Amino acid sequence: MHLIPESWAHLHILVSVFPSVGLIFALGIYIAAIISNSDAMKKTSLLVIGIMGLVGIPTYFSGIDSITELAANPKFTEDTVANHLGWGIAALGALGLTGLTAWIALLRFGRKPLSDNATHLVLGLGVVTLALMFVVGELGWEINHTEIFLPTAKTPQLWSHVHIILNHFPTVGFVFALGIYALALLLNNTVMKRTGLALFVICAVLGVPTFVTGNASMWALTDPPVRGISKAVINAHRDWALYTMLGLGFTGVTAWIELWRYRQVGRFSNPFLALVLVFGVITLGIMAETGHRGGQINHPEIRVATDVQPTDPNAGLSVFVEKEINQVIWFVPWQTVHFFGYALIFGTAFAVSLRILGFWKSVSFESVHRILPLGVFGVVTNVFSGMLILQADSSRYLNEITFVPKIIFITIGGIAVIYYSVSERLWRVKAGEEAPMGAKWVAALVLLSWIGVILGGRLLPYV
Amino acid sequence: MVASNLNVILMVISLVIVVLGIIFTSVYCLNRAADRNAQ
Repeated sequence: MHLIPESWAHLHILVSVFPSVGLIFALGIYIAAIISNSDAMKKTSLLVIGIMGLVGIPTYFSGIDSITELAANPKFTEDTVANHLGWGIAALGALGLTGLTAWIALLRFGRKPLSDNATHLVLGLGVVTLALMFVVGELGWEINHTEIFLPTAKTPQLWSHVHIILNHFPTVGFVFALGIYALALLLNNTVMKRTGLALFVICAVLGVPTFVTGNASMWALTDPPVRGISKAVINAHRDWALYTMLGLGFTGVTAWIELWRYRQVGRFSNPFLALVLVFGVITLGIMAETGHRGGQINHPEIRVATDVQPTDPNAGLSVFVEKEINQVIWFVPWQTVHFFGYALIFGTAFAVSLRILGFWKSVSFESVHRILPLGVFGVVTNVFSGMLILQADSSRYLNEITFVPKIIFITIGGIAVIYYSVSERLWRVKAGEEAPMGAKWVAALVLLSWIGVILGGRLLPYV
Repeated sequence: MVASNLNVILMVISLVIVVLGIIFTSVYCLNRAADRNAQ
């Protein structure tokens, strides 16, 4: 397997996801910085946005060279390439302008706090760029991913479409998380450390819908088979996706524990911070291989002679798990564990959210915040057991109408819980005091999401 | 059949003990750290 691109087309599909998906993360951190009014975080985001502007350069040139390289390939039509190129130039122009504004703002304000005008200018330009990037991305899929326009046979092709977009969020996001986190450790900056940790947790949660839509795409592309797509190559990618989920799990949990510890205890544990970094680096390595194997599924143009593709569709870990979890002796125990997990999650979400909503006001938020690890360990238990149970009959589960809302609610419920351990106002809610209104909305969202998850899961066998 | 039922029950019990054991030990350790800090 060659992870280092050896062709322009390979380089282009690799770097092009950074200005688009990367910009979403950069703007997300930027908006969080504006809301929390943190100048250090605003400047970190400006630096990231500025770097994204520079990444536009290799994106443009690798794209232009790919056109020359692939001109003779009948798979790619001139029209789709021209559409992508036209909008691509507009989007990269906007990106360049956004990046330039970010650099100018950084240089002009130096150590002084950023002015509101400069802050809002970069934000506005960033949003316009993002809208253009969205169009360019969609036109980019049209060049090569003709499978996403196939009519639905059994599993909708919508999932192949969603998966090729979604998989870039935990991956590109993870590169950002690791970059910000490593920089934070170097500078010993608490705000940046917490940003990096929160990003690791978000990426870990996003791994869940990515894994699930990946499974759905597998069925959409193999049952019935689609020409040019091999189940054996998909399975190799799926095996690495399992390892990635484990990596994301370890990184996400250790990162969340540090967010929790900082909140509850008031300081980080240095060995744990180092552990997050180690897990992060290992996970990024696993992810790179997973992404590369995913790209191999439908990009024959980037394959080189040393890329030996698997041919046996019954080989590998995923197929083994599929077979074993169908045995009663494995399925029933893991399902029992799954039920314990959701009792822990719901019990914790219920208690903490009700306190915020105004029940048991005699208890301070600090006291209920203590039980959060129980819920988070419940989530980990259930992501792991759920992943195994899903493999027992994934084609059926994925096509049940309540499965999609269940996964969407897990994502929302999982990400919203981060708020409990990062909010300053909520932390200051003493015994007898009312929680702020914003926190109550989050509490309602968390509670409703986890109710939705249980409903969606419980209805699976029946509708 | 009886033997396989017993196997499933033993599997359920041992897996639940292991998983809950890990969770409660971790939560205990984290909370002990919080307590120590509060003193």
